[in-house]
Amino acid sequence: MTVKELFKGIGEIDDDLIMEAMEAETKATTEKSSKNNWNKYIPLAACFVLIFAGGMYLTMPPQTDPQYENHDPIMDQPVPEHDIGQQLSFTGKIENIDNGIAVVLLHEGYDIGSPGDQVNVSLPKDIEFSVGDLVRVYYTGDVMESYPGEINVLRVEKIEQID
Amino acid sequence: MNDQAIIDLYFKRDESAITKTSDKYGAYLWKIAMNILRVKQDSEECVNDTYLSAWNKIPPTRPKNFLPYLGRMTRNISMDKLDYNTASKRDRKKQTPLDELQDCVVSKQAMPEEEVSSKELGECISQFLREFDKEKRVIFIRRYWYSDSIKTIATMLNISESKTKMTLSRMRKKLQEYLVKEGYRI
Repeated sequence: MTVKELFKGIGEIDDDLIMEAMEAETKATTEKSSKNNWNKYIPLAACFVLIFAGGMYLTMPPQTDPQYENHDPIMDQPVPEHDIGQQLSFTGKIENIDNGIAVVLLHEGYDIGSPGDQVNVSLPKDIEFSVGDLVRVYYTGDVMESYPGEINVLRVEKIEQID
Repeated sequence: MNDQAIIDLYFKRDESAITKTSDKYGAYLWKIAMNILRVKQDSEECVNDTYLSAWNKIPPTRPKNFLPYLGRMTRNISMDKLDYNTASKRDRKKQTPLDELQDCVVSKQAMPEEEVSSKELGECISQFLREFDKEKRVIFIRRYWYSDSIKTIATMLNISESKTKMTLSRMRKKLQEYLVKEGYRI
Protein backbone atom coordinates (compact mmCIF):
# COMPACT_ATOMS: atom_id res chain seq x y z
CA MET A 1 0.00 0.00 0.00
CA THR A 2 1.25 3.47 -0.85
CA VAL A 3 0.71 6.70 1.05
CA LYS A 4 -1.51 7.90 -1.76
CA GLU A 5 -3.68 4.78 -1.48
CA LEU A 6 -3.94 5.28 2.25
CA PHE A 7 -4.83 8.95 1.75
CA LYS A 8 -7.55 8.03 -0.73
CA GLY A 9 -8.78 5.31 1.63
CA ILE A 10 -9.13 7.87 4.37
CA GLY A 11 -11.05 9.97 1.85
CA GLU A 12 -13.65 7.17 1.69
CA ILE A 13 -14.45 7.03 5.38
CA ASP A 14 -18.14 7.13 6.33
CA ASP A 15 -20.05 10.34 5.76
CA ASP A 16 -21.23 10.57 9.37
CA LEU A 17 -17.62 10.71 10.58
CA ILE A 18 -16.86 13.52 8.15
CA MET A 19 -19.95 15.42 9.27
CA GLU A 20 -19.04 14.87 12.92
CA ALA A 21 -15.66 16.53 12.32
CA MET A 22 -17.38 19.27 10.35
CA GLU A 23 -19.68 20.01 13.27
CA ALA A 24 -16.66 20.45 15.55
CA GLU A 25 -15.48 23.27 13.29
CA THR A 26 -18.93 24.83 13.13
CA LYS A 27 -19.24 24.68 16.92
CA ALA A 28 -15.81 26.27 17.41
CA THR A 29 -16.62 29.03 14.90
CA THR A 30 -19.94 29.74 16.60
CA GLU A 31 -18.31 29.94 20.03
CA LYS A 32 -15.58 32.23 18.71
CA SER A 33 -18.16 34.42 17.01
CA SER A 34 -20.20 34.59 20.19
CA LYS A 35 -17.09 35.52 22.18
CA ASN A 36 -16.20 38.18 19.61
CA ASN A 37 -19.72 39.62 19.88
CA TRP A 38 -19.11 40.33 23.55
CA ASN A 39 -15.55 41.52 22.95
CA LYS A 40 -16.73 44.34 20.72
CA TYR A 41 -18.73 45.80 23.62
CA ILE A 42 -15.73 45.95 25.98
CA PRO A 43 -14.32 49.27 24.65
CA LEU A 44 -17.83 50.72 24.72
CA ALA A 45 -18.29 49.65 28.32
CA ALA A 46 -14.87 51.09 29.23
CA CYS A 47 -15.85 54.45 27.67
CA PHE A 48 -19.12 54.44 29.56
CA VAL A 49 -17.33 53.83 32.88
CA LEU A 50 -14.85 56.65 32.16
CA ILE A 51 -17.62 59.09 31.26
CA PHE A 52 -19.60 58.11 34.34
CA ALA A 53 -16.57 58.45 36.64
CA GLY A 54 -15.67 61.84 35.07
CA GLY A 55 -19.22 63.07 35.52
CA MET A 56 -19.25 62.03 39.15
CA TYR A 57 -15.96 63.80 39.77
CA LEU A 58 -17.12 67.04 38.19
CA THR A 59 -20.42 67.13 40.03
CA MET A 60 -18.91 66.46 43.47
CA PRO A 61 -18.37 69.57 45.68
CA PRO A 62 -14.68 70.38 46.29
CA GLN A 63 -13.50 68.88 49.53
CA THR A 64 -10.72 70.35 51.64
CA ASP A 65 -8.97 68.37 54.26
CA PRO A 66 -9.61 70.23 57.53
CA GLN A 67 -6.06 69.43 58.58
CA TYR A 68 -4.79 71.94 56.01
CA GLU A 69 -7.23 74.73 56.62
CA ASN A 70 -5.60 78.07 57.72
CA HIS A 71 -2.25 76.95 56.36
CA ASP A 72 0.09 79.02 54.25
CA PRO A 73 -0.01 77.34 50.89
CA ILE A 74 3.56 78.34 50.01
CA MET A 75 5.44 77.91 53.21
CA ASP A 76 3.26 75.07 54.39
CA GLN A 77 3.57 76.59 57.83
CA PRO A 78 0.67 77.03 60.22
CA VAL A 79 -0.51 80.63 60.08
CA PRO A 80 -1.52 82.13 63.42
CA GLU A 81 -5.16 83.02 63.58
CA HIS A 82 -4.41 86.77 64.04
CA ASP A 83 -2.54 86.81 60.71
CA ILE A 84 -5.64 86.01 58.71
CA GLY A 85 -7.09 89.13 57.19
CA GLN A 86 -6.02 92.16 55.19
CA GLN A 87 -2.77 92.62 57.08
CA LEU A 88 -0.37 90.51 59.09
CA SER A 89 0.79 91.21 62.59
CA PHE A 90 2.97 89.84 65.29
CA THR A 91 3.81 90.73 68.87
CA GLY A 92 7.18 91.15 70.41
CA LYS A 93 9.39 93.09 72.78
CA ILE A 94 11.55 96.08 71.87
CA GLU A 95 15.17 95.11 72.47
CA ASN A 96 16.84 98.28 71.20
CA ILE A 97 15.94 101.64 69.67
CA ASP A 98 18.32 103.48 67.39
CA ASN A 99 17.38 106.57 65.40
CA GLY A 100 13.64 105.68 65.28
CA ILE A 101 14.31 102.02 64.35
CA ALA A 102 13.51 99.42 66.95
CA VAL A 103 14.84 95.91 67.08
CA VAL A 104 11.85 93.79 68.12
CA LEU A 105 12.30 90.31 69.54
CA LEU A 106 9.44 88.20 68.26
CA HIS A 107 7.33 86.60 70.85
CA GLU A 108 7.70 82.86 71.07
CA GLY A 109 5.41 81.17 68.58
CA TYR A 110 5.64 83.84 65.88
CA ASP A 111 7.45 83.09 62.67
CA ILE A 112 7.26 85.73 59.97
CA GLY A 113 9.69 83.95 57.64
CA SER A 114 12.80 85.90 58.56
CA PRO A 115 16.05 84.05 59.30
CA GLY A 116 16.05 84.86 63.01
CA ASP A 117 13.76 85.98 65.80
CA GLN A 118 14.57 89.71 65.53
CA VAL A 119 13.04 92.25 63.18
CA ASN A 120 13.84 95.91 62.51
CA VAL A 121 10.68 97.98 62.97
CA SER A 122 10.40 101.61 61.96
CA LEU A 123 8.61 103.32 64.85
CA PRO A 124 5.95 106.01 64.40
CA LYS A 125 6.96 109.42 65.70
CA ASP A 126 3.64 110.23 67.36
CA ILE A 127 4.07 107.55 70.03
CA GLU A 128 6.94 107.30 72.42
CA PHE A 129 8.49 103.86 72.68
CA SER A 130 11.07 102.58 75.11
CA VAL A 131 13.27 99.49 75.29
CA GLY A 132 11.31 96.71 76.94
CA ASP A 133 7.94 97.84 75.58
CA LEU A 134 5.60 95.15 74.33
CA VAL A 135 4.28 95.95 70.86
CA ARG A 136 1.99 94.61 68.18
CA VAL A 137 3.36 95.27 64.70
CA TYR A 138 1.18 95.27 61.59
CA TYR A 139 3.07 94.81 58.30
CA THR A 140 2.43 94.12 54.64
CA GLY A 141 3.74 90.55 54.65
CA ASP A 142 6.93 91.19 52.71
CA VAL A 143 10.00 90.11 54.68
CA MET A 144 13.62 90.58 53.58
CA GLU A 145 15.89 87.70 54.44
CA SER A 146 18.39 89.75 56.43
CA TYR A 147 19.22 89.66 60.10
CA PRO A 148 17.47 91.27 61.81
CA GLY A 149 14.64 90.90 59.32
CA GLU A 150 13.31 93.89 57.40
CA ILE A 151 9.59 94.44 56.91
CA ASN A 152 7.23 97.10 55.57
CA VAL A 153 5.56 98.34 58.74
CA LEU A 154 1.98 99.55 58.53
CA ARG A 155 1.27 100.28 62.17
CA VAL A 156 2.75 99.71 65.61
CA GLU A 157 0.74 99.55 68.83
CA LYS A 158 1.87 99.34 72.39
CA ILE A 159 0.25 96.47 74.27
CA GLU A 160 0.02 95.66 77.91
CA GLN A 161 0.75 92.00 77.67
CA ILE A 162 1.48 89.29 75.16
CA ASP A 163 -1.60 87.41 73.90
CA MET B 1 -31.32 26.24 -0.45
CA ASN B 2 -30.97 22.71 0.91
CA ASP B 3 -28.66 20.10 -0.60
CA GLN B 4 -31.35 18.03 -2.27
CA ALA B 5 -32.76 21.13 -4.00
CA ILE B 6 -29.29 21.88 -5.39
CA ILE B 7 -28.89 18.26 -6.55
CA ASP B 8 -32.28 18.54 -8.26
CA LEU B 9 -30.89 21.47 -10.27
CA TYR B 10 -28.08 19.20 -11.46
CA PHE B 11 -30.66 16.64 -12.53
CA LYS B 12 -32.53 19.33 -14.44
CA ARG B 13 -29.22 20.34 -16.05
CA ASP B 14 -29.74 23.82 -14.68
CA GLU B 15 -26.39 25.61 -14.69
CA SER B 16 -27.34 27.64 -11.63
CA ALA B 17 -26.59 24.41 -9.74
CA ILE B 18 -22.90 25.31 -10.00
CA THR B 19 -23.47 28.79 -8.60
CA LYS B 20 -25.59 27.46 -5.76
CA THR B 21 -22.94 24.86 -4.95
CA SER B 22 -20.23 27.48 -5.04
CA ASP B 23 -22.20 29.84 -2.80
CA LYS B 24 -22.86 27.16 -0.22
CA TYR B 25 -19.68 25.07 -0.26
CA GLY B 26 -17.10 27.08 -2.23
CA ALA B 27 -15.18 28.30 0.82
CA TYR B 28 -15.23 24.86 2.41
CA LEU B 29 -13.90 23.17 -0.74
CA TRP B 30 -11.29 25.85 -1.29
CA LYS B 31 -10.02 25.30 2.24
CA ILE B 32 -9.62 21.57 1.68
CA ALA B 33 -7.69 22.16 -1.56
CA MET B 34 -5.59 24.88 0.01
CA ASN B 35 -4.71 22.67 2.98
CA ILE B 36 -3.31 20.07 0.59
CA LEU B 37 -1.74 22.23 -2.11
CA ARG B 38 -0.93 25.45 -0.25
CA VAL B 39 -1.04 27.32 -3.54
CA LYS B 40 -3.97 29.68 -4.05
CA GLN B 41 -4.17 29.47 -7.83
CA ASP B 42 -3.91 25.66 -7.87
CA SER B 43 -6.56 25.43 -5.14
CA GLU B 44 -9.01 27.56 -7.11
CA GLU B 45 -8.38 25.38 -10.13
CA CYS B 46 -9.12 22.23 -8.13
CA VAL B 47 -12.35 23.66 -6.76
CA ASN B 48 -13.49 24.55 -10.29
CA ASP B 49 -12.59 21.03 -11.39
CA THR B 50 -14.75 19.74 -8.52
CA TYR B 51 -17.78 21.65 -9.86
CA LEU B 52 -17.14 20.26 -13.33
CA SER B 53 -16.79 16.75 -11.98
CA ALA B 54 -20.02 17.11 -9.99
CA TRP B 55 -21.76 18.40 -13.13
CA ASN B 56 -20.58 15.33 -15.07
CA LYS B 57 -21.44 12.78 -12.39
CA ILE B 58 -24.83 14.11 -11.30
CA PRO B 59 -26.91 12.57 -12.78
CA PRO B 60 -26.90 9.60 -12.66
CA THR B 61 -25.30 9.72 -9.21
CA ARG B 62 -27.49 11.18 -6.48
CA PRO B 63 -25.26 11.76 -3.43
CA LYS B 64 -26.89 11.21 -0.04
CA ASN B 65 -24.59 13.64 1.68
CA PHE B 66 -23.57 16.41 -0.66
CA LEU B 67 -20.88 17.96 1.53
CA PRO B 68 -18.70 14.83 1.98
CA TYR B 69 -19.33 13.94 -1.64
CA LEU B 70 -17.94 17.23 -2.92
CA GLY B 71 -15.15 17.26 -0.34
CA ARG B 72 -13.97 13.82 -1.43
CA MET B 73 -13.78 14.96 -5.05
CA THR B 74 -11.82 18.09 -4.12
CA ARG B 75 -9.49 15.99 -2.01
CA ASN B 76 -8.79 13.53 -4.81
CA ILE B 77 -8.36 16.23 -7.43
CA SER B 78 -6.03 18.16 -5.12
CA MET B 79 -4.08 14.98 -4.43
CA ASP B 80 -3.58 14.40 -8.14
CA LYS B 81 -2.53 18.01 -8.56
CA LEU B 82 -0.04 17.62 -5.73
CA ASP B 83 1.35 14.53 -7.44
CA TYR B 84 1.71 16.49 -10.64
CA ASN B 85 3.43 19.36 -8.88
CA THR B 86 5.79 17.00 -7.08
CA ALA B 87 6.57 15.17 -10.31
CA SER B 88 7.33 18.52 -11.90
CA LYS B 89 9.93 18.89 -9.16
CA ARG B 90 8.17 21.87 -7.74
CA ASP B 91 9.36 22.73 -4.28
CA ARG B 92 7.40 21.23 -1.40
CA LYS B 93 9.31 21.85 1.76
CA LYS B 94 6.44 22.03 4.21
CA GLN B 95 5.37 18.97 6.12
CA THR B 96 1.95 17.90 4.90
CA PRO B 97 -0.52 15.40 6.38
CA LEU B 98 0.49 13.11 3.54
CA ASP B 99 4.09 13.05 4.75
CA GLU B 100 2.93 12.07 8.21
CA LEU B 101 0.95 9.16 6.84
CA GLN B 102 4.21 7.73 5.53
CA ASP B 103 4.58 6.40 9.11
CA CYS B 104 1.75 3.97 8.44
CA VAL B 105 3.07 2.46 5.23
CA VAL B 106 6.38 1.03 4.13
CA SER B 107 6.15 0.80 0.35
CA LYS B 108 6.34 3.83 -1.84
CA GLN B 109 5.34 1.90 -4.94
CA ALA B 110 2.07 0.04 -5.38
CA MET B 111 2.34 -3.75 -5.10
CA PRO B 112 1.92 -5.14 -8.65
CA GLU B 113 -0.12 -8.11 -7.52
CA GLU B 114 -2.70 -6.12 -5.60
CA GLU B 115 -4.71 -2.98 -5.95
CA VAL B 116 -6.12 -1.54 -2.79
CA SER B 117 -9.78 -0.67 -3.02
CA SER B 118 -10.26 2.80 -1.62
CA LYS B 119 -13.85 2.00 -0.76
CA GLU B 120 -12.94 -1.08 1.29
CA LEU B 121 -10.01 0.66 2.90
CA GLY B 122 -12.31 3.55 3.79
CA GLU B 123 -14.72 1.15 5.51
CA CYS B 124 -11.85 -0.45 7.40
CA ILE B 125 -10.55 2.95 8.58
CA SER B 126 -14.07 3.96 9.58
CA GLN B 127 -14.24 0.88 11.80
CA PHE B 128 -10.87 1.75 13.25
CA LEU B 129 -11.94 5.31 14.01
CA ARG B 130 -15.11 4.21 15.77
CA GLU B 131 -12.97 2.53 18.43
CA PHE B 132 -11.83 5.96 19.65
CA ASP B 133 -13.67 8.68 21.50
CA LYS B 134 -15.14 11.61 19.58
CA GLU B 135 -12.28 14.03 20.27
CA LYS B 136 -9.63 11.66 18.95
CA ARG B 137 -11.75 10.84 15.90
CA VAL B 138 -12.23 14.52 15.15
CA ILE B 139 -8.50 15.21 15.52
CA PHE B 140 -7.66 12.40 13.09
CA ILE B 141 -10.29 13.34 10.50
CA ARG B 142 -9.55 17.05 10.67
CA ARG B 143 -5.90 16.30 10.03
CA TYR B 144 -6.10 13.54 7.39
CA TRP B 145 -9.43 14.21 5.72
CA TYR B 146 -9.71 18.00 5.90
CA SER B 147 -5.90 18.40 6.01
CA ASP B 148 -6.17 21.08 8.70
CA SER B 149 -2.96 22.29 10.34
CA ILE B 150 -2.06 21.14 13.85
CA LYS B 151 -2.55 24.69 15.12
CA THR B 152 -6.01 24.96 13.57
CA ILE B 153 -7.11 21.68 15.13
CA ALA B 154 -5.72 22.60 18.56
CA THR B 155 -7.52 25.95 18.48
CA MET B 156 -10.74 24.39 17.23
CA LEU B 157 -10.83 21.80 20.01
CA ASN B 158 -9.32 24.08 22.66
CA ILE B 159 -6.41 21.75 23.34
CA SER B 160 -2.63 22.18 23.12
CA GLU B 161 -0.69 21.60 19.92
CA SER B 162 1.52 19.06 21.67
CA LYS B 163 -1.54 17.06 22.71
CA THR B 164 -2.80 17.17 19.13
CA LYS B 165 0.53 15.94 17.78
CA MET B 166 0.78 13.22 20.39
CA THR B 167 -2.76 11.99 19.68
CA LEU B 168 -2.07 11.87 15.95
CA SER B 169 1.21 10.05 16.43
CA ARG B 170 -0.40 7.36 18.60
CA MET B 171 -3.34 6.98 16.23
CA ARG B 172 -1.06 6.56 13.22
CA LYS B 173 0.81 3.80 15.05
CA LYS B 174 -2.43 2.10 16.01
CA LEU B 175 -3.75 2.45 12.47
CA GLN B 176 -0.69 0.72 11.12
CA GLU B 177 -1.21 -2.17 13.57
CA TYR B 178 -4.91 -2.25 12.72
CA LEU B 179 -4.32 -2.41 8.98
CA VAL B 180 -1.80 -5.25 9.40
CA LYS B 181 -4.30 -7.10 11.57
CA GLU B 182 -6.95 -6.60 8.86
CA GLY B 183 -4.67 -8.19 6.29
CA TYR B 184 -3.34 -5.14 4.48
CA ARG B 185 0.24 -5.39 3.26
CA ILE B 186 1.97 -2.22 4.20
